[in-house]
Amino acid sequence: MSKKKTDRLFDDICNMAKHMAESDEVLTAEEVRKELRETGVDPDDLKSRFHESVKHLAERERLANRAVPLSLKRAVDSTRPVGQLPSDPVAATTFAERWLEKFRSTFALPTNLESARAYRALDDISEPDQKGLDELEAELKAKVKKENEHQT
Amino acid sequence: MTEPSFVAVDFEEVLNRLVLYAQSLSAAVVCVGLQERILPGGESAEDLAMTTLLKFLDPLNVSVTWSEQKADPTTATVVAYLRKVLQRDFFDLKKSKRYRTTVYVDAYSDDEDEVGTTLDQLARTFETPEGEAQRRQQVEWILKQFDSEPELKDIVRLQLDPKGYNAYSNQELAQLLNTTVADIENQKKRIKLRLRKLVASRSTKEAEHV
Repeated sequence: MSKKKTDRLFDDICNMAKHMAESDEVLTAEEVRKELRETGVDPDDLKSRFHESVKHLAERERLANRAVPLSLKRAVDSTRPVGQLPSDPVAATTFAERWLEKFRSTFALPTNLESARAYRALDDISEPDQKGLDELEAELKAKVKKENEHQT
Repeated sequence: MTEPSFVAVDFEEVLNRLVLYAQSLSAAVVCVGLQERILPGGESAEDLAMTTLLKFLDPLNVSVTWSEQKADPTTATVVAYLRKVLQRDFFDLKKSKRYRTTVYVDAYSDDEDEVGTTLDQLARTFETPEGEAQRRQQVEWILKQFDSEPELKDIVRLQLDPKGYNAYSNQELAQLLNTTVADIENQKKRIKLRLRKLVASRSTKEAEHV
């Protein structure tokens, strides 16, 4: 197979992916999490799995009497569950600041915010919007059901 | 040499953004004519993003490191760097033996026994009449997924035009479709989300089948 053809195919794929990802660059961290949720990825579960993995790497380094690199320390500290504050005061402050920042960013309002009435009850809503709302409702119900199942 | 400070890097955000990029790559692969099936042992967008980031953080893995000559890393610069690594790994994975057994062209049927085409095979037929026919079929299948949203379908049709993906600017699309640039931007976001959902749901469905 000609390498050129493979390269061109890969270039096509990369260009498409880059175009798709262009609008992702302007998303806030919270909007990225929302986008992930909409594609079926649970960002909290992902963060928790990642935290376990980096914690495991850091433990391996400590057991081998090697220094844990700053990047790894930072990854462990910045992905801790909310209830676990780092023992180091500086890391704990950074952790708390990041936690508070999330509250602030969640409530950041878009600049072009306009008021609008909810027409769902009046049955005056476009088909795509209706579908979108139904999907959101189904996702919410499924999430609540899943959480209830975990608790029982 | 001092170790770079990672205080300005939010690794959770890096991971989330890498997952989005991996999803975009998977969606792009579908758009060029391959339908993914991720079987147990295969790599989902989340797996791939996590593996890439762990490779960067693992001190025993020296293949992906932040050069000490570079400026102190930030979330954005680490994402930009790791996107390149992820892209390379994505294609290596697609060319690997493991992937050949887990990927099929199966855009038009749910037949489990259908023999598939790998990325290498697709590349061989790329720019041949056979490849063009396959690509047309794939485009038709993608368009079918937008049957319930005709306003998006028109943009998808133009976006997947043989002249090349994204051949038209938002302004040109707005003129062609007699709408505003803001509308086009909004609809493009919905298309992207739809394609990512499509890829994610197919992957999950196939994994459940096995």
